Amino acid sequence: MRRTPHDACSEFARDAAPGLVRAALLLLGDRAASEDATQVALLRVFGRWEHITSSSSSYAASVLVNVCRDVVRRRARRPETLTDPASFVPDPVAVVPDPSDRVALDAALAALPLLQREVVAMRYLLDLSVAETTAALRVPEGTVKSATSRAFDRLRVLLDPEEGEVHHAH
Amino acid sequence: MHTDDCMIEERLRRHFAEPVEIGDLVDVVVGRYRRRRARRVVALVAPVIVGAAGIVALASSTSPSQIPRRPSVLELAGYQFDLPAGYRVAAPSSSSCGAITLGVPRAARTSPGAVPTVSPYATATVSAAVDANGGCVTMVVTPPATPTASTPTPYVRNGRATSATRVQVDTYTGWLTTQGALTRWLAAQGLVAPAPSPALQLSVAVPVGGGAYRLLVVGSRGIAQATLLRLVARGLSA
Repeated sequence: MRRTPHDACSEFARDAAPGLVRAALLLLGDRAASEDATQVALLRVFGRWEHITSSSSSYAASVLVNVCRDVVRRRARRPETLTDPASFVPDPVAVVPDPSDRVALDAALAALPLLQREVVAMRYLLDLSVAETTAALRVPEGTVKSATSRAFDRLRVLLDPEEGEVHHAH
Repeated sequence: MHTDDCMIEERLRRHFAEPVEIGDLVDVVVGRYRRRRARRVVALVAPVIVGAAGIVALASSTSPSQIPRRPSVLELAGYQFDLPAGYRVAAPSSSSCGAITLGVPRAARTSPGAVPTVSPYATATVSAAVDANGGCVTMVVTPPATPTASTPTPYVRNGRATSATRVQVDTYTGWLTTQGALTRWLAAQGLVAPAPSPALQLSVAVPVGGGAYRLLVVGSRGIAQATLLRLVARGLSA
C-alpha cells in the first residue's frame, strides 16, 4: 500500500517523540512544558514536512530548540509561580538501575547553562553530529565544540567534585 | 573513579537511553495536525466560495441591460422561435400587431347556398411578440390538415398570388407577400397616412405525413426580411 506523507509524519513522530520529550525536559526541566514544547515542535515539523531538505531528525531538533528557547525567554520575562506541590514530584519515568546515579546526573545537567544543555541534548540525546548540531542551534561549529567541552568539565566537577578539583588543580 | 570524557559520554548516553513514557502525545499531535489542516483548508476554500457567491449575487442584482440574456422565445405548437433582440411575447391584439392580417382562411369555400364549414386552419391560435419601436411578429401554426379542393392551404393560395415571392425556409418552401398594397397606394395619393413600414407575411406549409400539412403563417412589421426568414428557419429546424 502506498505510504502517504501523513503516514511518514506519524511514523517519524512515534520514533522521535520520546527523544524530543527527553531533550525538552533537559532544556526546560519541566515535564509538562517539555511535552507541550514537543507537541508544538512536531506540529511545526508536520506543517513543513514536504519542504524539509535536511534530515527530519535534525530539523525537528532545530525546531524543538527554538520552541524551548521561546519558553525560556517567556519564563525570564514572566517567572512562573509553582503553586502545585505535585509539580515538584519527580517523573515516574522508568525503572532505573541506580536511582541515585540518575538523580545526580539530572541535577548536574540541570546546573549547566542553557547552551551547554542544548549541545549535550543534541549530541548525546538526539545523536546529532557536530555539523547537525551546528545547524540546529544556529551557532558556529567552534561554539558547539567549546560548549561541549565546557559542559563535560562542569559535569565532571558536579558528578565527582573531588576529581574535578584535582582536574582543575592540574 | 576517574571520570574522563568517554566515561561522561557513556554515562550520558546510558542515562538518555532510558525509556520515557510519552503516553498518547503523538496521537494528540496527529489529531491536532489534522484539525489544523482541516481549518486551513476551510480557510482557503471558504473565501473562494464566498467570492463566487458574491459574484453570483452581484450578477443577479445587476440591471438586465448589463447582462447578456437568452433571447425571448415565442413558443407555438411545439416550435420555439428565438425572437430578435428587444422583442417580448405580447398579446396578438396589441397595437403594434393590430394592422397585420394573417392570411389564414376562416371558412371553407362552399358552393352557393351550402352551409359554410369552418376551415381546420381557423382553429389555430395566434401568438405574437412586439418590441418597443412598434415592431411585431405574429404567427400561427395550424393543426395538421389535409388540403382539399374546398379547403386549400394558403400555400396554394399564396402560390397563386401575383405578389408572392417564393423563398426557401430551412428545407421548406415558403411564400412571402407584402401586405398593405392598397394602403401604400392610398398613401401615395396622399389620401391616408403612410404606414410606418410595410408588413410581411410568410406562409410555409410543413408536411407532417399522410398528405397532411401544418400551416405556419407569420406576419411581421419592423423586421428585415432576412431576419424574418432566419427566425422562422431556425424555429422550424430545431
